[in-house]
Amino acid sequence: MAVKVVEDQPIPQLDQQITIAHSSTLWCGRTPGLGGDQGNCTCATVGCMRDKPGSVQRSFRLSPRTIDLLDASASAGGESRNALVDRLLGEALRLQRHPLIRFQQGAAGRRQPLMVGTRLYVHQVMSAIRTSHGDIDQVAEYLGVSPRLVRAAVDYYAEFSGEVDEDAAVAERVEQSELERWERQQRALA
Amino acid sequence: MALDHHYSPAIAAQLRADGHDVVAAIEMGWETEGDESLLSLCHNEQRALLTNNVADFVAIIRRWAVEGRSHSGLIFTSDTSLPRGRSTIGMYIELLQELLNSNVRSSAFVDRVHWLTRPRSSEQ
Repeated sequence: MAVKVVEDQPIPQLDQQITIAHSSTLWCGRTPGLGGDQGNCTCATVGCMRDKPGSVQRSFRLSPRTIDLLDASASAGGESRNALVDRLLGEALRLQRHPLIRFQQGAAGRRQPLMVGTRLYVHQVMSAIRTSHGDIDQVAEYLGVSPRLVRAAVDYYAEFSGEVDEDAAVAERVEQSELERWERQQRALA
Repeated sequence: MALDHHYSPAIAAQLRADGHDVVAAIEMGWETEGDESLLSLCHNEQRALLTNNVADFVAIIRRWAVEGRSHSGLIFTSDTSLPRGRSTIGMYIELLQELLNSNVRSSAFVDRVHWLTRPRSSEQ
Protein backbone atom coordinates (compact mmCIF):
# COMPACT_ATOMS: atom_id res chain seq x y z
CA MET A 1 0.00 0.00 0.00
CA ALA A 2 1.29 3.42 -0.89
CA VAL A 3 1.80 5.76 2.03
CA LYS A 4 2.28 9.48 1.53
CA VAL A 5 4.19 11.31 4.22
CA VAL A 6 4.49 15.05 3.84
CA GLU A 7 7.09 16.88 5.87
CA ASP A 8 5.21 19.20 8.21
CA GLN A 9 8.20 21.01 9.65
CA PRO A 10 9.01 24.22 7.79
CA ILE A 11 12.53 24.06 6.43
CA PRO A 12 14.18 27.43 5.91
CA GLN A 13 15.92 27.98 2.57
CA LEU A 14 14.33 24.95 1.04
CA ASP A 15 11.43 26.05 -1.05
CA GLN A 16 10.67 23.34 -3.56
CA GLN A 17 9.00 20.08 -2.92
CA ILE A 18 9.35 16.85 -4.77
CA THR A 19 7.33 13.72 -4.20
CA ILE A 20 9.10 10.51 -4.99
CA ALA A 21 7.78 7.03 -4.98
CA HIS A 22 10.53 5.41 -3.00
CA SER A 23 10.98 1.89 -4.08
CA SER A 24 12.21 -0.86 -1.86
CA THR A 25 13.26 -2.36 -5.18
CA LEU A 26 16.09 0.15 -5.34
CA TRP A 27 17.11 1.45 -8.77
CA CYS A 28 14.81 -0.78 -10.74
CA GLY A 29 12.60 2.07 -11.91
CA ARG A 30 9.84 -0.38 -12.75
CA THR A 31 7.87 0.01 -9.58
CA PRO A 32 4.11 -0.42 -9.46
CA GLY A 33 2.29 2.70 -10.48
CA LEU A 34 5.18 3.81 -12.66
CA GLY A 35 4.34 1.69 -15.63
CA GLY A 36 6.28 -1.33 -14.54
CA ASP A 37 5.38 -4.85 -13.72
CA GLN A 38 7.27 -5.76 -10.62
CA GLY A 39 6.08 -9.32 -10.64
CA ASN A 40 7.57 -9.99 -14.06
CA CYS A 41 10.48 -7.61 -13.83
CA THR A 42 13.59 -8.78 -15.62
CA CYS A 43 15.50 -5.65 -14.71
CA ALA A 44 19.24 -6.20 -14.48
CA THR A 45 20.00 -3.38 -12.09
CA VAL A 46 21.42 -3.64 -8.62
CA GLY A 47 18.99 -4.23 -5.84
CA CYS A 48 16.01 -5.21 -7.92
CA MET A 49 14.55 -7.62 -5.42
CA ARG A 50 11.40 -8.93 -6.99
CA ASP A 51 10.18 -10.61 -3.84
CA LYS A 52 10.06 -7.42 -1.79
CA PRO A 53 7.03 -5.18 -1.41
CA GLY A 54 6.47 -2.19 -3.66
CA SER A 55 7.19 1.47 -3.31
CA VAL A 56 6.31 4.01 -0.66
CA GLN A 57 5.43 7.57 -1.63
CA ARG A 58 7.04 10.28 0.46
CA SER A 59 7.49 14.04 -0.01
CA PHE A 60 10.68 15.99 0.61
CA ARG A 61 11.58 19.65 0.25
CA LEU A 62 14.65 20.20 -1.91
CA SER A 63 16.59 23.32 -2.77
CA PRO A 64 15.97 24.88 -6.20
CA ARG A 65 19.58 24.12 -7.14
CA THR A 66 19.16 20.47 -6.32
CA ILE A 67 15.94 20.37 -8.33
CA ASP A 68 17.74 21.97 -11.29
CA LEU A 69 20.56 19.43 -11.08
CA LEU A 70 18.08 16.60 -10.74
CA ASP A 71 16.12 17.69 -13.79
CA ALA A 72 19.25 18.15 -15.86
CA SER A 73 20.68 14.80 -14.84
CA ALA A 74 17.40 12.94 -15.41
CA SER A 75 17.03 14.54 -18.82
CA ALA A 76 20.63 13.81 -19.83
CA GLY A 77 20.53 10.23 -18.64
CA GLY A 78 17.08 9.35 -19.91
CA GLU A 79 16.02 8.31 -16.42
CA SER A 80 12.83 9.43 -14.72
CA ARG A 81 13.32 11.86 -11.85
CA ASN A 82 11.84 9.31 -9.49
CA ALA A 83 14.16 6.53 -10.63
CA LEU A 84 17.16 8.87 -10.48
CA VAL A 85 16.37 10.08 -6.97
CA ASP A 86 15.76 6.54 -5.82
CA ARG A 87 19.07 5.34 -7.26
CA LEU A 88 21.17 8.28 -6.08
CA LEU A 89 19.68 8.26 -2.61
CA GLY A 90 20.08 4.52 -2.32
CA GLU A 91 23.72 4.67 -3.40
CA ALA A 92 24.51 7.70 -1.23
CA LEU A 93 23.15 5.99 1.86
CA ARG A 94 25.18 2.89 1.09
CA LEU A 95 28.35 4.94 0.49
CA GLN A 96 27.84 6.81 3.75
CA ARG A 97 27.79 3.52 5.61
CA HIS A 98 30.56 1.94 3.51
CA PRO A 99 33.05 4.65 2.50
CA LEU A 100 35.45 2.20 0.79
CA ILE A 101 32.79 1.15 -1.68
CA ARG A 102 31.87 2.84 -4.96
CA PHE A 103 29.23 2.12 -7.56
CA GLN A 104 30.07 1.55 -11.17
CA GLN A 105 27.90 0.85 -14.17
CA GLY A 106 29.42 -1.59 -16.61
CA ALA A 107 28.91 -1.72 -20.35
CA ALA A 108 26.19 -4.32 -19.85
CA GLY A 109 24.22 -1.69 -17.89
CA ARG A 110 24.31 -3.14 -14.39
CA ARG A 111 25.41 -0.89 -11.52
CA GLN A 112 27.41 -2.81 -8.96
CA PRO A 113 29.39 -2.00 -5.83
CA LEU A 114 33.16 -2.24 -6.15
CA MET A 115 36.07 -1.54 -3.82
CA VAL A 116 37.40 2.00 -4.12
CA GLY A 117 40.59 2.35 -6.19
CA THR A 118 40.27 -1.11 -7.70
CA ARG A 119 38.55 -3.01 -10.49
CA LEU A 120 37.13 -5.45 -7.96
CA TYR A 121 33.38 -5.83 -7.61
CA VAL A 122 32.20 -6.92 -4.19
CA HIS A 123 30.79 -10.17 -5.56
CA GLN A 124 34.18 -10.98 -7.14
CA VAL A 125 35.90 -10.44 -3.79
CA MET A 126 33.33 -12.59 -2.01
CA SER A 127 33.90 -15.36 -4.52
CA ALA A 128 37.63 -15.31 -3.75
CA ILE A 129 36.84 -15.29 -0.03
CA ARG A 130 34.75 -18.44 -0.40
CA THR A 131 37.57 -20.14 -2.31
CA SER A 132 39.95 -19.15 0.50
CA HIS A 133 37.56 -20.35 3.24
CA GLY A 134 37.15 -16.87 4.69
CA ASP A 135 40.85 -16.07 5.07
CA ILE A 136 40.88 -12.29 4.52
CA ASP A 137 44.68 -11.94 4.58
CA GLN A 138 45.05 -14.70 2.02
CA VAL A 139 42.51 -13.05 -0.29
CA ALA A 140 44.21 -9.65 0.13
CA GLU A 141 47.53 -11.20 -0.83
CA TYR A 142 45.98 -13.00 -3.80
CA LEU A 143 44.38 -9.80 -5.13
CA GLY A 144 47.33 -7.56 -4.27
CA VAL A 145 45.24 -5.21 -2.13
CA SER A 146 45.10 -4.19 1.51
CA PRO A 147 43.23 -6.47 3.94
CA ARG A 148 41.34 -3.32 4.92
CA LEU A 149 39.72 -3.26 1.48
CA VAL A 150 38.79 -6.92 1.64
CA ARG A 151 37.20 -6.36 5.05
CA ALA A 152 35.27 -3.44 3.57
CA ALA A 153 33.85 -5.76 0.92
CA VAL A 154 32.88 -8.29 3.58
CA ASP A 155 31.24 -5.54 5.67
CA TYR A 156 29.25 -4.41 2.66
CA TYR A 157 28.25 -7.97 1.86
CA ALA A 158 27.11 -8.52 5.43
CA GLU A 159 24.62 -5.67 5.07
CA PHE A 160 23.54 -6.11 1.45
CA SER A 161 24.11 -9.80 0.83
CA GLY A 162 20.91 -10.21 -1.19
CA GLU A 163 21.95 -7.55 -3.68
CA VAL A 164 25.53 -8.84 -3.97
CA ASP A 165 24.34 -12.43 -4.37
CA GLU A 166 22.06 -11.22 -7.17
CA ASP A 167 25.06 -9.53 -8.85
CA ALA A 168 26.92 -12.85 -8.65
CA ALA A 169 23.93 -14.80 -9.93
CA VAL A 170 23.48 -12.49 -12.92
CA ALA A 171 27.21 -12.73 -13.71
CA GLU A 172 27.04 -16.51 -13.51
CA ARG A 173 24.02 -16.69 -15.81
CA VAL A 174 25.79 -14.57 -18.43
CA GLU A 175 28.98 -16.64 -18.07
CA GLN A 176 27.06 -19.87 -18.57
CA SER A 177 25.22 -18.54 -21.60
CA GLU A 178 28.37 -17.15 -23.23
CA LEU A 179 30.38 -20.29 -22.46
CA GLU A 180 27.72 -22.49 -24.04
CA ARG A 181 27.62 -20.24 -27.10
CA TRP A 182 31.42 -20.40 -27.39
CA GLU A 183 31.40 -24.19 -27.05
CA ARG A 184 28.82 -24.45 -29.85
CA GLN A 185 31.06 -22.26 -32.01
CA GLN A 186 34.07 -24.49 -31.27
CA ARG A 187 32.10 -27.60 -32.24
CA ALA A 188 30.96 -25.91 -35.45
CA LEU A 189 34.57 -25.06 -36.30
CA ALA A 190 35.92 -28.51 -35.45
CA MET B 1 48.65 -11.34 -22.15
CA ALA B 2 47.39 -9.24 -19.26
CA LEU B 3 45.55 -10.51 -16.19
CA ASP B 4 42.62 -8.47 -14.89
CA HIS B 5 42.79 -7.22 -11.33
CA HIS B 6 40.86 -10.14 -9.88
CA TYR B 7 43.69 -12.64 -10.53
CA SER B 8 46.85 -12.96 -8.49
CA PRO B 9 49.95 -11.19 -9.82
CA ALA B 10 51.77 -14.37 -8.78
CA ILE B 11 50.25 -16.09 -11.82
CA ALA B 12 51.77 -13.49 -14.15
CA ALA B 13 55.13 -13.65 -12.35
CA GLN B 14 55.37 -17.42 -12.73
CA LEU B 15 54.38 -17.30 -16.40
CA ARG B 16 57.06 -14.66 -17.01
CA ALA B 17 59.59 -16.87 -15.27
CA ASP B 18 58.57 -19.57 -17.73
CA GLY B 19 59.33 -17.23 -20.64
CA HIS B 20 55.86 -15.85 -21.45
CA ASP B 21 55.11 -12.14 -21.85
CA VAL B 22 52.38 -11.85 -19.24
CA VAL B 23 51.59 -8.93 -16.92
CA ALA B 24 49.03 -8.36 -14.18
CA ALA B 25 46.85 -5.24 -14.39
CA ILE B 26 47.96 -4.17 -10.93
CA GLU B 27 51.63 -4.40 -11.96
CA MET B 28 50.92 -2.00 -14.82
CA GLY B 29 49.01 0.49 -12.68
CA TRP B 30 45.82 -0.43 -14.55
CA GLU B 31 43.84 -1.40 -11.46
CA THR B 32 41.66 1.72 -11.55
CA GLU B 33 40.99 1.74 -15.28
CA GLY B 34 37.50 1.29 -16.61
CA ASP B 35 36.77 -1.80 -18.66
CA GLU B 36 36.89 -0.12 -22.04
CA SER B 37 40.06 1.76 -21.18
CA LEU B 38 41.71 -1.44 -19.97
CA LEU B 39 40.86 -3.25 -23.20
CA SER B 40 42.31 -0.33 -25.19
CA LEU B 41 45.51 -0.38 -23.14
CA CYS B 42 45.83 -4.12 -23.73
CA HIS B 43 45.28 -3.64 -27.47
CA ASN B 44 47.96 -0.94 -27.58
CA GLU B 45 50.38 -3.49 -26.16
CA GLN B 46 49.00 -6.38 -28.26
CA ARG B 47 47.95 -8.24 -25.15
CA ALA B 48 44.93 -10.49 -24.79
CA LEU B 49 43.07 -9.83 -21.53
CA LEU B 50 42.20 -12.58 -19.06
CA THR B 51 39.05 -11.60 -17.17
CA ASN B 52 35.98 -13.06 -15.53
CA ASN B 53 33.85 -9.95 -16.17
CA VAL B 54 32.10 -11.60 -19.08
CA ALA B 55 28.93 -9.51 -19.31
CA ASP B 56 30.61 -6.12 -19.60
CA PHE B 57 33.42 -7.14 -21.94
CA VAL B 58 31.05 -9.00 -24.27
CA ALA B 59 28.98 -5.80 -24.49
CA ILE B 60 32.12 -3.77 -25.25
CA ILE B 61 33.50 -6.00 -27.98
CA ARG B 62 30.09 -6.25 -29.67
CA ARG B 63 29.94 -2.47 -29.82
CA TRP B 64 33.56 -2.27 -30.99
CA ALA B 65 32.80 -4.79 -33.75
CA VAL B 66 30.00 -2.54 -35.01
CA GLU B 67 32.39 0.43 -34.88
CA GLY B 68 35.10 -1.49 -36.72
CA ARG B 69 37.45 -1.46 -33.71
CA SER B 70 39.74 -4.39 -33.01
CA HIS B 71 40.88 -5.85 -29.70
CA SER B 72 43.75 -8.17 -28.95
CA GLY B 73 41.61 -10.93 -27.51
CA LEU B 74 39.57 -11.81 -24.46
CA ILE B 75 40.22 -14.94 -22.42
CA PHE B 76 37.26 -15.59 -20.13
CA THR B 77 37.08 -17.62 -16.95
CA SER B 78 34.18 -18.49 -14.69
CA ASP B 79 34.46 -18.58 -10.91
CA THR B 80 32.13 -21.55 -10.99
CA SER B 81 34.45 -23.80 -12.98
CA LEU B 82 37.77 -22.08 -12.20
CA PRO B 83 37.63 -20.54 -8.71
CA ARG B 84 40.13 -17.81 -7.89
CA GLY B 85 42.29 -18.20 -4.80
CA ARG B 86 45.72 -19.22 -3.58
CA SER B 87 44.80 -22.89 -3.91
CA THR B 88 44.10 -22.54 -7.65
CA ILE B 89 47.12 -20.44 -8.68
CA GLY B 90 48.93 -23.55 -9.88
CA MET B 91 45.97 -24.66 -11.96
CA TYR B 92 45.71 -21.24 -13.62
CA ILE B 93 49.44 -21.29 -14.42
CA GLU B 94 49.18 -24.74 -15.94
CA LEU B 95 46.15 -23.88 -18.09
CA LEU B 96 47.62 -20.58 -19.24
CA GLN B 97 50.97 -22.18 -20.08
CA GLU B 98 49.14 -24.68 -22.26
CA LEU B 99 47.12 -21.93 -23.93
CA LEU B 100 50.12 -19.68 -24.56
CA ASN B 101 52.28 -22.54 -25.83
CA SER B 102 49.66 -23.41 -28.39
CA ASN B 103 49.07 -19.76 -29.41
CA VAL B 104 52.54 -18.26 -29.67
CA ARG B 105 51.82 -15.46 -32.16
CA SER B 106 51.08 -12.08 -30.55
CA SER B 107 48.09 -11.78 -32.88
CA ALA B 108 46.74 -15.21 -31.96
CA PHE B 109 43.71 -13.85 -30.14
CA VAL B 110 43.00 -10.67 -32.11
CA ASP B 111 39.23 -10.11 -32.24
CA ARG B 112 38.74 -13.52 -30.67
CA VAL B 113 37.13 -14.77 -27.50
CA HIS B 114 38.53 -17.85 -25.79
CA TRP B 115 37.41 -19.58 -22.61
CA LEU B 116 39.92 -20.98 -20.18
CA THR B 117 38.39 -24.22 -18.97
CA ARG B 118 39.55 -27.29 -17.19
CA PRO B 119 39.47 -30.59 -19.07
CA ARG B 120 36.10 -32.22 -18.32
CA SER B 121 37.78 -35.16 -16.59
CA SER B 122 39.45 -32.90 -14.00
CA GLU B 123 36.29 -31.00 -13.00
CA GLN B 124 34.88 -31.91 -9.62
